Amino acid sequence: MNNLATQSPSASDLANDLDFMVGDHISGICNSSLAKINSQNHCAHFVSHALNIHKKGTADCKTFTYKDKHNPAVKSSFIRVNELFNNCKKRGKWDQATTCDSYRLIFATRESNIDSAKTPPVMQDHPVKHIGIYHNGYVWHYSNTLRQVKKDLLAEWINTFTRVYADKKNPENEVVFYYGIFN
Amino acid sequence: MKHDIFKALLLSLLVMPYACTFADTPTGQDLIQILLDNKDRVISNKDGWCSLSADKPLSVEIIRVLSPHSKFEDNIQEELHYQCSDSIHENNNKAIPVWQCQIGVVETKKKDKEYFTSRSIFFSINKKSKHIYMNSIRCMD
Repeated sequence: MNNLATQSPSASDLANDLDFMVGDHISGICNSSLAKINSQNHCAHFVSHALNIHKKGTADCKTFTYKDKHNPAVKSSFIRVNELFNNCKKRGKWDQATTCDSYRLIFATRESNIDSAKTPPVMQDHPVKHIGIYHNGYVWHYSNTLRQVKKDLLAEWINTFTRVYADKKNPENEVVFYYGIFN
Repeated sequence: MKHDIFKALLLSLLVMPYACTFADTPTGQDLIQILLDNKDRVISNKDGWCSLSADKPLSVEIIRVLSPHSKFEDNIQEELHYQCSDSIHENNNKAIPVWQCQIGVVETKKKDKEYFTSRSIFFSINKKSKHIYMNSIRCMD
């Protein structure tokens, strides 16, 4: 984790910053060319910039194109949910998260996308996955449908992704929720 | 003189389709053809952009992107999209003018158009030769 760049704002500062981003398109948060492409999933991209976390050597918006690489205004970030999850120091099932963490990441995916036999669990790169930042009953996340940052009540967020990610042809493959903490 | 003009005209007619093919923005059909022409070339797993466990031919990625992941889920609508823009690619420390292209699929819920998943492959094509720079490939989902 030595090459994982993090900056830990206080929880209240973070909540204020996140509130300020609500309604923003990802291109208002990131100057990369990737941010201009609406067909991409920007949920991990948003979380990574909002928390100022990245890991050198992973796919990121800074190395997306030649122009991004040479543009000082483009900052590095994770762009894949599973890479963010798998780099969390602490991670596990959402209902097993400790309440003392002031904020934590929340992940939604299908059970088949998690290798829970491993400790800590590992997320695969199945495309059905989403991430948000949880604090004090709310989840801030990037809505790829609305193409903007959104703030939802936790229950609302869980209900939405339980419905959207439900695998009707294979109901045993349940929608699952995990947490992750960087530091 | 007349003969020279005729030769020049003939030459320009011969060159024109070639010039149009390589200088105009590639179409979706062009992109599919270029990818299929390069299907046996290998994507390296060195750079972290295509999360592969080992080097694999481009055909594996083409199938991953273009095969509807949710084909067994009847409430999902797939939409194929493509796009190319003028860009630059760095190859052996040289900046080369390229088309940076993307082809992919976005899946939304049929009922309320809610975003479900997306997959794309990005790659840079040399404007003159249609050569794909393998180190420009970005696998996204």
